[in-house]
Amino acid sequence: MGPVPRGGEREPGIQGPRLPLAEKAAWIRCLFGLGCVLAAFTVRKLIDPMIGVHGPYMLFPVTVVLVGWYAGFGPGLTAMIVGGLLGRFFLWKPVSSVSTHGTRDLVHLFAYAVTCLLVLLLFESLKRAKTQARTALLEAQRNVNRLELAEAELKHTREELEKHLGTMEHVMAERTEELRETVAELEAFAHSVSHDMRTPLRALQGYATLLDAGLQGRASAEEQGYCKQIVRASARLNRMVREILSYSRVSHSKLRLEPVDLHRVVEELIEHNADLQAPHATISMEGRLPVVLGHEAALTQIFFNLLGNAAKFKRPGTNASIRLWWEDDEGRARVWVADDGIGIEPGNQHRIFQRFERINPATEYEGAGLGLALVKKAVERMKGSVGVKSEFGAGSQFWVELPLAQRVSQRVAAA
Amino acid sequence: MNRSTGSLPVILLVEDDDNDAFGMELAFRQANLSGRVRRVRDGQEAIDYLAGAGIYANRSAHPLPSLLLMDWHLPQKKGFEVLRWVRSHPTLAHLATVVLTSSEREADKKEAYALGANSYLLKPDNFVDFVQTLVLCEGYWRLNHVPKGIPASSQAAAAPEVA
Repeated sequence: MGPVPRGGEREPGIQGPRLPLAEKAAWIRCLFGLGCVLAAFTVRKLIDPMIGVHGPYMLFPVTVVLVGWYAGFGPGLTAMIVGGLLGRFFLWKPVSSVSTHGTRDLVHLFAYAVTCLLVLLLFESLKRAKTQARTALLEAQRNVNRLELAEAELKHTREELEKHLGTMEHVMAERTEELRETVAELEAFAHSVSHDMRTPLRALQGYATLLDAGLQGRASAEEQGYCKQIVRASARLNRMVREILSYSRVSHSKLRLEPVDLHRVVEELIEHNADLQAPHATISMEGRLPVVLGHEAALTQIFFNLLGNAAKFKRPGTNASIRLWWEDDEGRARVWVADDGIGIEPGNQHRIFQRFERINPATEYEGAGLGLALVKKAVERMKGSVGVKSEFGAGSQFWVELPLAQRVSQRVAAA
Repeated sequence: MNRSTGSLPVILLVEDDDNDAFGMELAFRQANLSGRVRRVRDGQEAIDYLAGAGIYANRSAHPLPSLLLMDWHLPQKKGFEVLRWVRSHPTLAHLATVVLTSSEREADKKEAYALGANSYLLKPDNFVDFVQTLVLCEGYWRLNHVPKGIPASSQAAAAPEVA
C-alpha cells in the first residue's frame, strides 16, 4: 500500500462526458431549450416552401431530444411543449386555425408528444441511474479511503505497541536480573548466617558440655544446673537458626519436580529420627503412600515438620499416636497426617501457617514459629496446597495436596 | 594404635575455626588418633602441605596424609579450590577426601561431589559429638582399599612395620 492522501477523495474513474450546461441554473437551461426550439422553428419555416404542409413537427423531436440530452428533463419538456404549440399554430395548414381536420392532426400531435416524452423519460432515468451509480461509486471510494486510513493507523499503532513491548521486555529483563541478583544475595546472606552463626554456637555447646563434665562432683548441683541450661539454650538456639535456614533454602532454592515415593520418604524419616519412634510416638501408615510429583528434599522437610509437630504437640502425659493415609482426588494426592494431640483452637487455625506465629508458649513447645510456614511455602512452590482440620483438645488433621506422578505421566503420554 | 606415629599414615585436617579444631582434637584424642593428625588453617596452607612447599618440605615431619578431612568454606583458598588442585595432581589425585562442614546447602554438596569429594559430612551441633563422627569416618577410611603407590590407611593397617 502506497501513501494514502488524507481527507481527500479521488474522483471515480467512470464518469461520462461532463457538460458545462448540465451544471447551469434551471432557467438558463430552459432558455437554451427555448432557443433551440426557436432555431428549429426558423429552419422549419425556411424550408416550409419545399415541404409544404407535411410534417409540421419534423425538426422538433430531434430538437427536444438534443435539449433533453444536453440540458435535462425540464428544458426538454419546455422545448417539447413550445415546439408542439409552434408546430400546431404556425406550421399546420391552414395556418393559425383550429380546424376540423381533427383526427389526423391529433394523431400527429399525440405521436409527437408521446415520442418526445418517452425519450425524455428515458434520458431522465438514465441520468438518475448514472447519478446513483456515481454516488455509490463515490461512497465505495470513500469507504476504501477510510479503510486504507484505518489500516495505516492500525499499522502505526501496532508499530508503537511493538516498540513499547520491546521496551517493556527490556525493563522486565532488567528487573528480573535485579531480582535474581537480590535472591542470590539473600541466599549468600543466609549461607553466611549458617556458617558464621552456627560455628560459635557449636563452640558454646561444646565448651558448656565439657564444663558440665568437668564440674562433676566439684561444683554444687545448682551450678551444674546452670551449666546444663547453657547447653540446652544453645542447642535450642542452634535448632532455631537451622529452622530459619531451612525456610530460606525452601523459599529460594530451585525446586525441580520429579516423581518421589512419599512412602519411602516417610519411612526413612521415621527410621532416622528417634523422636518419631516409640516410646515418643507411634506412627501408622494406612496403605502405601503414593508417588507424587515433587522435590525430594522439600518433601522430606515438609513431612519432617508435620510429623515433628504431631509428635511434639501431644497432650501432657501421653505419647503421640499419629496416622497417615491418602485419597486420590482427580489426579492429585491428598495426604493426611492426623494426631491425637492438643489440637488448635478454631480462632488460631488460620494463623498457624504464617511466619513467626506461635500459638503455644516457647517454654512448653520449642520452635521459631517457622515450621508450618515452611510447609506452606514448600508445598505451594511444588504447585500443591495445604490445610488443617482440628478439634481443640482432641487432635489435628493436616493435609497436603500434590499432583500424583503416575497420573501426570499418563496424561503426558496420552497428549 | 600405640605404635610409633611416624610410621603411620596421617590425617590432614583443614579447619579454620579454632574451637572446632579443639573439638576435633578432643575427639581424635579420645579415639587414640591425636598423634596422627596434622592441622592446617586454610586452603592455601593445605595445598602447601600437600605439595611439600615451604615449611612443609620435610616429609618426615609432615608426611603425606592418607585422608584429607577439610572444611568447605575456608579462608584464602576455598574448599573447592583445594579439591580441584588435589584431583588434578599427578600422584595425589586419588587421595581420600572427606568434606566436614556445617553447610547444608544443596549447591555445596553437589559441587563437592562433582569435584570428586569421597564423602560429605555435616558437623555435629555440639563439638563434643565430633568423637562419634570422626571415629566412624577414620574407621571407614582405614578399611578402604586404594591402588598401590598411593598413601592409604588400609595398606598401613595391613603392614604397619613398613617405614
